[in-house]
Amino acid sequence: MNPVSLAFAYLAERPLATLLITLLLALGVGTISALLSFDHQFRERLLREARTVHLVVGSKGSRLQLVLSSVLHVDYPAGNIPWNEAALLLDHPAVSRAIPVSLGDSVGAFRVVGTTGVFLEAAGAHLASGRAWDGTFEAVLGATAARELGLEVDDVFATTHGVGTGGPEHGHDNYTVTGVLAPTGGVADRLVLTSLESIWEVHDQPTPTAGNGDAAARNGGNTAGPRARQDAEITALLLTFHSPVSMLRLAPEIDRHSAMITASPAVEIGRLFALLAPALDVLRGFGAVLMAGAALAVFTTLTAALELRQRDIAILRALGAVRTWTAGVLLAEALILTLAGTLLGFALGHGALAVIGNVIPEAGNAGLSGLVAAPGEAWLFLAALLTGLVSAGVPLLRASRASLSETLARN
Amino acid sequence: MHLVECQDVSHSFPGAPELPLPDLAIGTGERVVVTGPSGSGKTTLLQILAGLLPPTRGEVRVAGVDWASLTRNDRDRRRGRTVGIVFQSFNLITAISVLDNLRLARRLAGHPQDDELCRGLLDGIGILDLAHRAPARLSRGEAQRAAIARAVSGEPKLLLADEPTSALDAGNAASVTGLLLERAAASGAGVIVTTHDERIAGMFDRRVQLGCGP
Ligand SMILES: Nc1ncnc2c1ncn2[C@@H]1O[C@H](COP(=O)(O)OP(=O)(O)O)[C@@H](O)[C@H]1O
Ligand SMILES: [Mg+2]
Repeated sequence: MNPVSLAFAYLAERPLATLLITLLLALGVGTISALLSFDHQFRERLLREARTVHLVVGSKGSRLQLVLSSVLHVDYPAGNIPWNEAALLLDHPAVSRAIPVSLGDSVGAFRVVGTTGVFLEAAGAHLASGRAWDGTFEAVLGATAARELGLEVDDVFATTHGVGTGGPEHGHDNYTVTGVLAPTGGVADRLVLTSLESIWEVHDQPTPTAGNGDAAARNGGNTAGPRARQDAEITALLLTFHSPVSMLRLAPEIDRHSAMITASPAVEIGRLFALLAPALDVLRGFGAVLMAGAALAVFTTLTAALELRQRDIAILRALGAVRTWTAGVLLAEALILTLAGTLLGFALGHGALAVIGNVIPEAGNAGLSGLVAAPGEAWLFLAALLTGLVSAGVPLLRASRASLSETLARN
Repeated sequence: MHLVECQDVSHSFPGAPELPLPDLAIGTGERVVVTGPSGSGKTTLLQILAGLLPPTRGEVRVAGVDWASLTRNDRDRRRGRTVGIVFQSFNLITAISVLDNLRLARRLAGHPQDDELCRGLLDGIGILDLAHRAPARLSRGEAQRAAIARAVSGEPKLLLADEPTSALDAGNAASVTGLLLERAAASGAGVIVTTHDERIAGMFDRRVQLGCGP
């Protein structure tokens, strides 16, 4: 028998109250931790993508949608742009890196991206097995996509038209897996990458016209470069510039003098944050109210328990327990409750994020994971523990003022 | 040096007349019974002797130490190590088993754990089969026995018992009192028992009468 085992005995004596407080606290902590982690991951993820891509060029429409679909792979693309027009930008002296992306097909829940080898380089992706695609109908799979589709090197698969499931199938098993990427922690994990030609071939776009090979020379690399085609299209071009100034000069020019528009991921993501801020604030406020409610419940329940515990504290003192011993019992009880509630809350909050990341493809594509802790969660943990300690402190103070003899003489 | 010395002690509860208490000098191993009608101050006397209630006047020494000279914390610690108390209302801790009540009292008295001794005490007082039962599920008589076993489990120098046979029938009252006195004798403890049960009053070395009456 020590203060901690006695505290456990008290908690076991009224299991329903113990369960209720734990759950109440867990709900509050869970909601807040899920919000904090979501907010944190969302920002980190978006900002990371925004750092590597300075400007997206795509078809006229919503700039936000362009960034979401072509950079973050969450929204649907609005349309395509002519490849020969986009290809001109590949050679622009201000551009340090240009990644063409061609979207519109999928394999199961995973998006197919027609692109060039530069994509892998920019994503910092390395092959875990096999080799890069080379020519048409060869594909490299992101780590998550490969695992969940159950595909390995040399396996064959078919793509369907449209993003998401349910579109008409393009032939059968026309693609071969040539490589699988090591996990990057970014969007590449959930993509199926292939050459631009594969996409064109699948959609019966015109055959290559030989000779117009300027762009091909630039983008050849170790994979087959896109051969320019007269009427071929891509979805967007992701550009990185040598300097911000040159970007600011080029972007308005494209907007004005072509059928394409430009979007800056940094600007669009900033607008997205601004758009979502009130919603996140409401959720956060809701979490704070829950948390305060849970804290109040813990506080009042412990204070109420004291009315029963007054006598036991007096008995313990009569039996020879010193102040640290009796304080230890109440503190242990409060800490066990708050720790259990808080840890259960973190498990619930992060479990919910993991489930959301697995169930909703868009959330998964955005890289939502249950395993990322936001710095704010450390504060949440401390705040919860502090609530427990204060809840124990007030009853202790009252107990130390109660009359020992009167309490013990009560029937 | 006497085990218990009590001089010119009286206590005034707020709004009540002063309650004078007898001078006492009780030796080591001596067994005293305190009798008196209800309200005569038996419980108050025991609480003052146990250092649970500071008297408004007078000095109480147990094993040579004046309770009033100690801090609250030291008083609690010293009580645990020198005094065993059987409360009139038992005061068992309801969240833990009977056996755990004994273990706890022994630990707070500063003794190493000794389950054999604790079980022996429960066996001697006839409730070994209730060792793992929650105190709330004991009859009054069983709870009283458990309270007595707990009071001696810490091997106190002074055993104070407040009407320890009130919930027992005549036959059991005598045997339980006998057991209590035997345990006290085994560890050389002094005993002060309050009662208004004339049947057990004769089992003690000395009798102190409170209030009016013989
Ligand atoms: N906390 C208290 N406040 C006021 N009066 C009390 C209190 N405790 C006891 N008394 C009074 O002190 C007297 C002695 O009480 P007590 O020691 O309990 O007597 P006994 O144990 O002999 O029945 C009684 O008159 C009782 O009413
Ligand atoms: Mg009494």
